[in-house]
Amino acid sequence: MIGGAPAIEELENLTNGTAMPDFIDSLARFLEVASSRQQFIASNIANANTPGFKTQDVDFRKSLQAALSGETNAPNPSEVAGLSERPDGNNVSLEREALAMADTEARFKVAAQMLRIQFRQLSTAIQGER
Amino acid sequence: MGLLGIMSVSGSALAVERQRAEIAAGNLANSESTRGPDGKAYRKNVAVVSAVPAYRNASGLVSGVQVDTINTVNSTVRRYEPWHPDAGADGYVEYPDINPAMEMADLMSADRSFQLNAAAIQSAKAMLADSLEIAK
Amino acid sequence: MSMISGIQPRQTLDSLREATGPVHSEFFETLQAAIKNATEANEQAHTTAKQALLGSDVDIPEAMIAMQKAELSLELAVQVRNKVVQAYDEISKLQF
Repeated sequence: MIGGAPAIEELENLTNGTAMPDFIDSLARFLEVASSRQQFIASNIANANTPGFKTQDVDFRKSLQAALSGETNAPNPSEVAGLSERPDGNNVSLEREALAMADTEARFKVAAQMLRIQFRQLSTAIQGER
Repeated sequence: MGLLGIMSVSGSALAVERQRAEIAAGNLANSESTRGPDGKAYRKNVAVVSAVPAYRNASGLVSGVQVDTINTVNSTVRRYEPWHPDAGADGYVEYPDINPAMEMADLMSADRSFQLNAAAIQSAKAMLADSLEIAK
Repeated sequence: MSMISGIQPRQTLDSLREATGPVHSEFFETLQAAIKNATEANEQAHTTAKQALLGSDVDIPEAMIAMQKAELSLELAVQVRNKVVQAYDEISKLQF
């Protein structure tokens, strides 16, 4: 097939068209969600002994899915169900927070690395002409 | 503020947990002290802590923590020990109303919380480092 | 972002293709194939990446590998394009 022009166009689409910037934006959104969650986790941990304090979290899974679909709104934190309360009303579980913190940090790192690769790819395409 | 906010939030908690630990340690050390500097039995100290708004991020309000006051609990327990140098005319001695087991538990709790808050700061630092990698 | 095109290979290739005819369509087929590979690898990488970020650890090495593959496929496609352009440059010089 003698398709020179379409081929080049596809190559351009690959790098600066619809595919790449969307994914980069999604990854950036993802990082924001993870960062935001980590801040609320830190707040929970800080208030592990504050009387009456209720654990706050963002619906991580839903927020991540929204982020990866390009949703721009920041997720609102809500109270977490199923936690046992101490007599003073505080329901912070250090175990839950520790696990959530590790999970969030790991996902953040992965997404950051992926973002780095995406930018490197763009750089490759830009420098195409050797 | 973002990830940097974690520094101030967790940092505030480190200060609080250290104070809680000091108070628990002081209560423990003085749990049998029948005569303090004021000539009376030691009174238990209790930290009153509350959440304090630290900053807002895109999702909402992020809170740190602070010690509001350190209260002295004005109760004592009396034991019948007429031989005791600090016994009153009725033979009773006033002891601090401190349960060493509870104070020990508070001390351990403060220590555990301190560790996890320190870990949160490390985590924030790691995430910031990961962010810097994006542009490398 | 059209600076990515570099020396505007589209123009060059079009005119050269007309000048040289179907004989050299093999070049284009290779380029076409390379680009198709890169496109598919890229889509696969995006899908796997999203799965990995949302799911369990098992997918993460898979996703990183898929990304590397996509990156290499792209690099290959760019290299092939460069070679094709270079080849036509040389061929055009042969025709007085």
